Amino acid sequence: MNNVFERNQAFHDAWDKKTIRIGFWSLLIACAASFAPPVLLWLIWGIIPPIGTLLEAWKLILLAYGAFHIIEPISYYSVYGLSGTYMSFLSGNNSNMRVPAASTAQDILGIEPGTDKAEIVTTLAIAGSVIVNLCVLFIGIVFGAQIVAHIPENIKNGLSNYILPTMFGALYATMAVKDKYMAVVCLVLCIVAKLIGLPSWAFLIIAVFGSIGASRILYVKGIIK
Amino acid sequence: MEENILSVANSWPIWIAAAVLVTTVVTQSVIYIKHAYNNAPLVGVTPAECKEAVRIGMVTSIGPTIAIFIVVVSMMIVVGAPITWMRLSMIGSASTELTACTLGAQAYGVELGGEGYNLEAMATAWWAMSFNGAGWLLICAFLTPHLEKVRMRVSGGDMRWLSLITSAAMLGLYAYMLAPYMVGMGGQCFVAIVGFVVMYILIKLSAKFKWLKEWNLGIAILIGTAAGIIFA
Repeated sequence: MNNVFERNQAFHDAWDKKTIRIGFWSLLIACAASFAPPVLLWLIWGIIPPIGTLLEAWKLILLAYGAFHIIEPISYYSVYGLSGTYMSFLSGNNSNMRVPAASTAQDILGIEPGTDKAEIVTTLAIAGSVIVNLCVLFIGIVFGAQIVAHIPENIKNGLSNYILPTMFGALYATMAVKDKYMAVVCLVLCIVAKLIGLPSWAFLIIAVFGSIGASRILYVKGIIK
Repeated sequence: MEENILSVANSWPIWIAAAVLVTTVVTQSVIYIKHAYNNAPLVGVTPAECKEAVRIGMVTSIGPTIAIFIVVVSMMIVVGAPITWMRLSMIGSASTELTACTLGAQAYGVELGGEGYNLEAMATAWWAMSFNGAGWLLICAFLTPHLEKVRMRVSGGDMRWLSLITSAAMLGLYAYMLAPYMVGMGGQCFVAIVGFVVMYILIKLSAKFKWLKEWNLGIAILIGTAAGIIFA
């Protein structure tokens, strides 16, 4: 089948420009709003650290996370698409909530990843995950202390230590049934990268772009179709 | 840690400031839902599929949100409830925000919540988290439109390859999350394997029982986590 340049122009005309406008402004507004609490500390209570301390804090942040600020959007983009990127990088929790929401919705609805259909479905799934995430979080903020006080220690440990690894194991199974070669290749690649102790931003690049590279080789060789 | 810190950190002006941010996040999602509904017919996605997509997204995020409950509580104690609410509602995972707080306190020369941790130290932690989040927000605001162009160029218009790029990136991201647990070899490695096996069985089963499919992930998470609590 010849799939080349089969692009739905009517959809992209209606979708892209408005999506970008919504995303751009919501991210800028959020960025400004996120500085409101420390600024209020300053304006109302006069609490402001010395400028040297603030610059030192900024430097430490850039050293620890600066690379992620750039690498993460690039690495996640092909999973999220346009609107998904704006939503996920506003609301955060990329690997533990947004990617699972996007991939599970595509999987259950039988949508081919990377298509225009996937763009719509991903948008809706991520939006749904943001809304529930915020509702549950709000409950956690208001009642969290009381709830946590009543949970036995071993269950508390279980909830904070085991939910995520179980989920990633399970999600890996959904990918592995579709493509066992790639599943083995990617996991081995990542385990090796982890064992040689790469800094985690380099590890992320290897995981995503190494996997895409491996997929390219298998595609060109006709092992995956 | 000084006594008066939390009375300031939990005061109503800070709650309002946090609410503004959370409202922005919710509003953005609602606008995108509308935008997606309006354009779904152009690509042949039915309203029923739209509804189902939102629901699936909702269900998948319940487990991971509960997983951060403990962090929510420990973070509230050192930086206050409203700022915790705000930070965990936006970019930066729970562990990232805690690290950013720690770095902020460090820049001030104290330990987070430790001796000498006063209002100014807490303010530094707040600024540190805002600096960190702003990095992602600003870069995404300006970079995202260009990423679509790059993606189309890399794919060379080959739609099948475009789809494979997406699948490979997903797989890579999951492997990236999974590998540290596998290398650790402990209880987390055990539950990851349980999750994998249970899910694999559920997928085979749901080929026969279609209704099962959307419960698969939830069931796998429950069984895996329970197995971890009981055996690990």
